[in-house]
Amino acid sequence: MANTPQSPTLEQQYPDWYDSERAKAVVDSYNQGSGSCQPADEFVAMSILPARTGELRDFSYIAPELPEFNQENCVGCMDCVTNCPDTAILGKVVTPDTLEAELAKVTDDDHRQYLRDHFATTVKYHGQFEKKRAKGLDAPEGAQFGIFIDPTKCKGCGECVEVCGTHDALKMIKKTPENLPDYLSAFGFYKTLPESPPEYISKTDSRDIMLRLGNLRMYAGGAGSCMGCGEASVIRQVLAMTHDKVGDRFGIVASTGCNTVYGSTYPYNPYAVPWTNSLFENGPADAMGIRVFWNQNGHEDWVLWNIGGDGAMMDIGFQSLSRMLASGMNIKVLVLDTQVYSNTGGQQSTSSYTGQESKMGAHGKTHHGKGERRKELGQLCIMHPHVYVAQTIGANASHFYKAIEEALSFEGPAVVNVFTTCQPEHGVADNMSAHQAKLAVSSRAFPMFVYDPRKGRTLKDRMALTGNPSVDRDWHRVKNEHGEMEEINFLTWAKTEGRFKKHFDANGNPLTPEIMAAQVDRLENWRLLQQLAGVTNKDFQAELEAEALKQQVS
Amino acid sequence: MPITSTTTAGESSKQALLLTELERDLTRPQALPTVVASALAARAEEAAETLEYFVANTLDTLDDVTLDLIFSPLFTPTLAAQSRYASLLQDDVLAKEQLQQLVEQLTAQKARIPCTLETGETLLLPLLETMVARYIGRLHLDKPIPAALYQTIQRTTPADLQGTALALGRDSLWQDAARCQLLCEGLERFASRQSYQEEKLKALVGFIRTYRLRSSEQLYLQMKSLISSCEADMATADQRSYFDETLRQQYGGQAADVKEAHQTRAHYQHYISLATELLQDFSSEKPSPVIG
Repeated sequence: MANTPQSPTLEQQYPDWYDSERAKAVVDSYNQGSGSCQPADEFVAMSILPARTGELRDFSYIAPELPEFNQENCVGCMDCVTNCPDTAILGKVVTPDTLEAELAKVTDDDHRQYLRDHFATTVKYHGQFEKKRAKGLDAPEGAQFGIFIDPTKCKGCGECVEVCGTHDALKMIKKTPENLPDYLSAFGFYKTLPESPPEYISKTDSRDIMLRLGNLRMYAGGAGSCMGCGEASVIRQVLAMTHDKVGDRFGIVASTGCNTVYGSTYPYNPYAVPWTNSLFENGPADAMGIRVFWNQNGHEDWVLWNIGGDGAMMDIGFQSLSRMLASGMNIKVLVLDTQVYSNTGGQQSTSSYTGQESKMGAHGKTHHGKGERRKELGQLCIMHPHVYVAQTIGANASHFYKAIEEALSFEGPAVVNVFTTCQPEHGVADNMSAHQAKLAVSSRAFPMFVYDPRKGRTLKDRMALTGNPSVDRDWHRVKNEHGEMEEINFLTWAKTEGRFKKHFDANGNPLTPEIMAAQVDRLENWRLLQQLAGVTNKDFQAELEAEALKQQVS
Repeated sequence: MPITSTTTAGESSKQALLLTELERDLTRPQALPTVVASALAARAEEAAETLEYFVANTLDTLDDVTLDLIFSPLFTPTLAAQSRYASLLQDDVLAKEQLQQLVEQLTAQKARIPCTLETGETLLLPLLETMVARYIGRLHLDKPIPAALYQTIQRTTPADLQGTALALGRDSLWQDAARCQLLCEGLERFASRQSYQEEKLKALVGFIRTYRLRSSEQLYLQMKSLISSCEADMATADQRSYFDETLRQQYGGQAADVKEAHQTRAHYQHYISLATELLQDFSSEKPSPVIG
């Protein structure tokens, strides 16, 4: 599609009143370490962060390594783009004519080949279209799929390589002063390319939504989140899907938490959408006020998200959330459930697991981490009238995006509770967000579910456990490296995270009653979900029958 | 040299060997990776079918894109697999039509692959065109190996590494004469210093690709730069990245940290070792190539 418009520049996106020059001057001064010398300005006076200034932030001094693309193995799944917390890896579909025209502008043969090597010939964007044409069907010609790295945004976490996994199309390589300019140059080339033509964007694979520039640009990166932050990638996904569904007609109330700190450290703002920061305790109440105001002004169709962590939504702001849910107002809530106060140094929350080590839940001689059981926000929300509730993970894109779509289309309040990895507080490596989230699901630490009041009149009709493995069993079982069947239970997951490390010996054997209690807690929680969803648990059934038989015999 | 339609008896038997090897390779029992098994299970769940029924009856109705997304991990050949075929082909090249013919022949057999799930169950996976095409396409049977590189590999490379070297040689990277020459020089140096190792061979290829090297001088400078970058990163391996000095002062050096410092150090030490070895190889007196 040679006529597709070029990507709009940052300046072209700003409204007339916006002083983009001033915004750039402020950001530049901070980039150079002279932020404190800046004169007071209108932005500061109004507590406003100019939109998308995160795009101007340069993190290229941080990442020790960068991803390298092996185009031959790429299938165009978009998992790397979807799971990047920093909008640092980007995909693009380009028709052959456009690509050749753009490459022809590159005078150096070797550099041209280097840029060409960023493009893969995939079944998804090329093969299927060529096959249709070969059969005489009406289809566009096969296109090329490019993957590009923005080295000013990449922090080197390696999450993209981890989620690419056995596709083996990405690997980390050492960044040196010599190859950084190559990355910058390739990313410059990416920016000259037109938008991915819509006819190549899959209508069934929701991961493709980040091929649409408008969706992708909702979160610019440049935020101060940690390397591999599980929260940031989930926020990106939510923004992309919301923009895909309603365009610019949405806004965010962010309850104080880690997301508000890394997302609004002056002068860097990663958001392209109206965003306001409320307190820990009153995000939902703040959102109710905005909702009323919007409705009074004829904006009933505008989407309002309230984003908060487990500290805000389960502890300090739980009453406010409950009040909002009871109101029936059309407000969507995204809970970034890290099971800890990530921002303030890792204090335990009611979402923390039994036995989890955290500040105020330290593991010592007498107390072995948190003594209480985890509060289940999802179940509590279900018990409010007419509320859509989903518990999911960003790493399962199909489940996650479906939940967001359903939440958006639900007439009334919706809560999406998402397991999000917090590397420093969970004690896991920078590249393990998606991996740990998936393991949390399969080990029943964090089961996925959807409760949709539109699906019927009974709990069983409304509740779905789709996406959990071995849904009718206590635990999922797999064959281990010795060929023996092994349970994937809560302990399997807990021993992979630093926050539970002291509960296990060097061989991974559990040492404390607390970690065993946590295992029981998770099993009971899973069985409760099964009962709510009307799923018969074969193991539980057998256990009950054995107990009944034992009683009869005695 | 290309295997053309007017092939000799020897070349025909080579094609027959290829077909036999591919048949054996593609239908051997496999353990289904978790990512593939999960994707399959999700599709079966969507179709409200048992996994066994889905694989036996519904799988072949899925479109090519879906099949490619699900099964690509299973049908992406490893370097070891590429090496076997490279050994078989030597410097021969298949034409595109011959590749297509192989795909058609293998698909027509309607073979089924015994696949073991992580739950211990076994499924008989139908071998479909998309799967075969992906696998064959990535064996590089149609990619020529430059004559100079082929001869250098034959002359310098130990027998047990010939397949790997030939497989790595079937890459468009070596169509650039300068890069091809640099690789040849590296192989000559490995041989003359009797320091030929698979890992070093792969590292040299990787470094040439990653850092776009075209001469031994560039390689020398890049390895020096790589070593100094790694040393700088190793020196700060036990410090977390903080974007703000106040944050570092408040929180630095506490809590269960992200990557273990010793793992980070080991990771960079590995880079340094490989770069140092290559520096040693390339610093030694240049061997004069053996003719013939």
